[in-house]
Amino acid sequence: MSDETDPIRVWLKKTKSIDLGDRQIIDPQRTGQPIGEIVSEAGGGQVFDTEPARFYHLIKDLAPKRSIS
Amino acid sequence: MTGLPADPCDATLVGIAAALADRKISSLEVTQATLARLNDRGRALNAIAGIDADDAEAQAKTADANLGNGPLAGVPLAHKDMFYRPGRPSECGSKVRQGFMPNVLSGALKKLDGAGALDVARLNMVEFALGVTGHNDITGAVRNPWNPAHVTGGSSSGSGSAVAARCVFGALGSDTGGSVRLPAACCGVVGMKVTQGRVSRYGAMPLSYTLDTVGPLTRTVTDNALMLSVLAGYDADDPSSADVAVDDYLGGIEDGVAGLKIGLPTSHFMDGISAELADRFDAAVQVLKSAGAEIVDVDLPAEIRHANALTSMITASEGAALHQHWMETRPDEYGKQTFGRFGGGFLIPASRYIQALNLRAEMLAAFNAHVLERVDVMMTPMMVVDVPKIADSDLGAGAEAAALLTKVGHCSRPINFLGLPGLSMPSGFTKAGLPSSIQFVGKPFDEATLYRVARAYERETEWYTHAPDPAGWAAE
Repeated sequence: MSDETDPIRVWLKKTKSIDLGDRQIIDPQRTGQPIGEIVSEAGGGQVFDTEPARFYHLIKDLAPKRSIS
Repeated sequence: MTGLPADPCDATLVGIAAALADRKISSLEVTQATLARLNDRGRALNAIAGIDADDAEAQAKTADANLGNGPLAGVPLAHKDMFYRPGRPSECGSKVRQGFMPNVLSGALKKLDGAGALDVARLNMVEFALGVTGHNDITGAVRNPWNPAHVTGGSSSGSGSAVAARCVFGALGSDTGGSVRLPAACCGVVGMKVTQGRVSRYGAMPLSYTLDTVGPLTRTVTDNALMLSVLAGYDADDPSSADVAVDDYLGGIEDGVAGLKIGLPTSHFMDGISAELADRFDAAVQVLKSAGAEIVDVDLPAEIRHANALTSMITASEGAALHQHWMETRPDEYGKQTFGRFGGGFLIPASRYIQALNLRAEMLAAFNAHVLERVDVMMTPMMVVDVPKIADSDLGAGAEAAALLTKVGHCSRPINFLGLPGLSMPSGFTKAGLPSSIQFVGKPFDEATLYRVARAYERETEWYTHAPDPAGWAAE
């Protein structure tokens, strides 16, 4: 695939104004799986909630409860 | 008689701190010995980003005049070149930030300063901390003290190498996908990836707002606990800092593992492991079993197999956002691999990135139900592949590079995604003479139990007493 037809290079040059020249991009779909499929198989992550920071509450809630100085 | 080794640099952090407190040796003597090691061994290993000897000696003289101000009073340390200190460059292993002079003091350095530690050198690192092998197109590879033809692991490559080579008693690193634990693993030292929010990230170079953590690398478990005792705690300057009480890490460190339950994962963490590393891991498990730990299998949530890829997605997305301006205006100043990995971040839709973030809570809840509610600590290998050769890590930014990074980060990245604490420590040596390593993973903010288990293993094995031989470095 030439630089002119590689959709990643074309998109980056057009959308992000980055002229890649001969630079390589590491495909984020490095397992060979589409990103959407990875996210979907991992649980979807589609939380319809007013509290997007649930992780930060949860990690504190799961800390062992003990009296410490 | 000081009770110290002939060269004070061969003492442990705990040992040198005690000797300084007892005035058996001066900070100036220790600092001059440290500077000699950094200039000799550190430079031979390409671990050094910068040394200001005059400033280091001035710090030592001040410490000698005022000794007794903290648990690390007069102890010379050196850190990954990404912790900001006003008036001193912080170049982040990059060309883009060459000559950058910060105007803030990082939260981690502030804590170490408060404990009386000296900051005597900046240590090399992977460009912008993006990479688990240690590869750096800009500053060159840091060399592994056990065999300089091999990588140090990354991204805290100089920290791992300098601590293992006994140049410094301890060093700060940062861990976004394994960058404290993997250099510790490859170089045969102890590295702590702390719980998200445990140590301040204020004034530390950002890579991923979501996943970055700051932690210590040291030669021994007790040294590490001492250093984290100083570093841990809330910092109002860091909005991601957690206001959670800090345990006494040293208080129960010698309590042993009797009565503790250690879980061995039945999936993911042993996938693709070499036969030799699997044997070494089994041997380490037996040590803890003999020491009184109850060993049980734990089944992980199936989704954990995606945590490595999700960690990379988050890091690439956030890194691309941070670096876009420089990538547009100064693309030729980036190394090939760094540019290629940040560039991949532009290809991830924002909706998928946000969904990946949301998955952290879901996966942590599932991991808690499967593992943390059943055992005190999970034990895994730290790496499933041998420490690569430097020549084999120079793979540009193609599919081969992606595959190597995925393999090296196989056991580290899931723990960043979950936000949990993970400790990496040596478990001996392979037939090739390079360190093998294990990882302990704990409950959130329960670094104390990780130290307790790790110290029990260390007490039985004492791998930390082995030292690399500088005589072999020049020949490589």
